[in-house]
Amino acid sequence: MSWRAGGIRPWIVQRVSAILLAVILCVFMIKLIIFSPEYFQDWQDLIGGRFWHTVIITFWIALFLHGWIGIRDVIMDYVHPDGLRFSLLTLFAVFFISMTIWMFKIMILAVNL
Amino acid sequence: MRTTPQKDRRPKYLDLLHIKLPITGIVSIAHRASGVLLVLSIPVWLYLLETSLTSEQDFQDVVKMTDGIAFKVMAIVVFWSLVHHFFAGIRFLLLDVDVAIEKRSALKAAKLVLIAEAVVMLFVVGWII
Repeated sequence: MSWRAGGIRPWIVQRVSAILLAVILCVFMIKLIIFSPEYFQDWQDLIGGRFWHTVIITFWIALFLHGWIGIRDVIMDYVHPDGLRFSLLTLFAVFFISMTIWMFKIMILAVNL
Repeated sequence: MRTTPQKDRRPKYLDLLHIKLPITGIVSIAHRASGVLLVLSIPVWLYLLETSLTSEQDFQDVVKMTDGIAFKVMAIVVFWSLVHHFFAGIRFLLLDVDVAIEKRSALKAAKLVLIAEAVVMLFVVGWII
């Protein structure tokens, strides 16, 4: 495998981000079940607080990388006509970038340090 | 010179109705399908997150929205994808380090994924309903 775009580097990023996502997801779900916020203020304090704010942004970065590599692999495996493949890859690239901008806007407005 | 006359005669077993996928194959293809579904569900979760963080009224609206039957059905499908992707993903990470890579242990591990998934889904469905 090559160390360039198509090779082992995305493979490693996919695995490392997978572990990050799995760990953060478990910890956050446990926190949510124990804490179970019923009011806006509790929810905002949780998401906007320094610790979880950082954790959620880390989660998003891992999700962005993991999701993009996964979608990219699926498209390259199943969609063979060049035009369609290029269009779908572009569509999902735009999707991931827009979602990231949206997510950062939400997290900046939620900040409550 | 004709080089590959027999290439065209090779049988192609791509009739999806006649392929019987082993359990490891089912777990694998479901891992891909669930991954795509999870990506497509991102806007829904971001919308709920944004709204829930806007004001007390919006927060309570989200709580009410998540009480509807349409939301619950969607949540079960997405959580099922998440739970499957999670357990099947752990199995693939273990395969990377050669755990349960032999045929018999691989089949066992794939079964274990489906069992763990079913158990967790019982709790998730109970929690959502």
